[in-house]
Amino acid sequence: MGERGEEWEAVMLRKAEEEESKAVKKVKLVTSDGVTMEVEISTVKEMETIQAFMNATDTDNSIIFPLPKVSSHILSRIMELMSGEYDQELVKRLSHEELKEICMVANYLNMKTLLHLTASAIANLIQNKSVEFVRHFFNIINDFTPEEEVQLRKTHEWAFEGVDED
Amino acid sequence: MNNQTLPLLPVEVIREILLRLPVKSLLRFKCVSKSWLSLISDPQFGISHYDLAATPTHRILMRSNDFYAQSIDANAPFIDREEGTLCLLRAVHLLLPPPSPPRIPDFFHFDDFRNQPLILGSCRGFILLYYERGDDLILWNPSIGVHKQLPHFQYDNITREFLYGFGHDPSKDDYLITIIPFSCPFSAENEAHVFSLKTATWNSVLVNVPYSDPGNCLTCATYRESLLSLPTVIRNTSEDEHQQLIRKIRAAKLTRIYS
Repeated sequence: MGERGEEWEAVMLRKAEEEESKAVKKVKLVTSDGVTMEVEISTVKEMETIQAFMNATDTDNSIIFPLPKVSSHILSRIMELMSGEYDQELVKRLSHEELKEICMVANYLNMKTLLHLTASAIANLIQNKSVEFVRHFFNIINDFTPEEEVQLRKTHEWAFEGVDED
Repeated sequence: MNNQTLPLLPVEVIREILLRLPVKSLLRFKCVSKSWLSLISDPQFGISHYDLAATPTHRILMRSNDFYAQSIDANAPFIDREEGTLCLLRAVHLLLPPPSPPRIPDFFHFDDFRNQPLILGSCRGFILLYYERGDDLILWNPSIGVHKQLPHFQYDNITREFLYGFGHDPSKDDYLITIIPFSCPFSAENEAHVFSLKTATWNSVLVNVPYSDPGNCLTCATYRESLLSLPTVIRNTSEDEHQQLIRKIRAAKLTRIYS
């Protein structure tokens, strides 16, 4: 019995593992607006924050991951970008708000490719813009006194030449 | 734009975006807010920005007179097709770092051509300037306007002709400047003076120089825009580091240093 029994056990174990991995090929993501989206496990691999959570906990058949900071609209946009293999053309079609929000989510979920892509797209967008445009774009309040700002502008005067119209 | 719904982007996301901007935009965006100013001025940000190299831009620097240098975008066309004007007209005028006052004040001070700096080289956005009159060596980042005058070194035999080199040692994040004054009459063995910015000291080492002509000093150079500030000086480095440096210089082939 001895040797054969062990072999048999090993085969059964492998079978069980295979079946388990087949069963856990989907992950349920719950967005901030209460929508549950089922995604492939391969998709989640790029979301390092979720991946780290999954590695830390024992995987079972029903993984539900809440994303209180991500709306269903933004999550579906992210899925589109991922399935389109991060095509630049898809990025160009995003609104400014979508772009900012996706960039923020990419950082939150630690998605390196998406973060690079969206951060570069935003950098490209503001590169030749005025200080006022940038404040408005990021919703930033100017906390300099007028005197301080004049002084700063004088320090690098050449950087203010050839700026696009807002 | 409806900005009411979106919370402010966290600072690490802003940082990711800023790292991908060219230097010119970053200098302008120092004015956006106090937090942007401190983020962009942080030396560590400057290093990350240089290393990421997402948007390296090169400029050509030309000395124009005693006080100013002209800087033009190396990628811009030299002649504007529409206006038919030379792009030199669009050059940026940068105030040169001042030399030390002349040791012996003389009447013709302002006319003296030796009051204009020679551009000895460029490395990682820094320009090495040399003012002949006061033997001033000045390291200058024209993009952000920081500069530092190097301490004078003592010559044994004064000569105005020298070989020079300026480079960066990534293993120690140190900038090294080498000056080899030519002795008269020409001899194969010369004293090389090596300045380490990190230790802020000059070291001397005898080297074989296979050249008899130091070539021309420049009045023009290209440089890559950078936000790099000068590394912190650690004055109390061990004797060991000096010895290491000297060994390194001895081992290096001069043709490599000066190519």
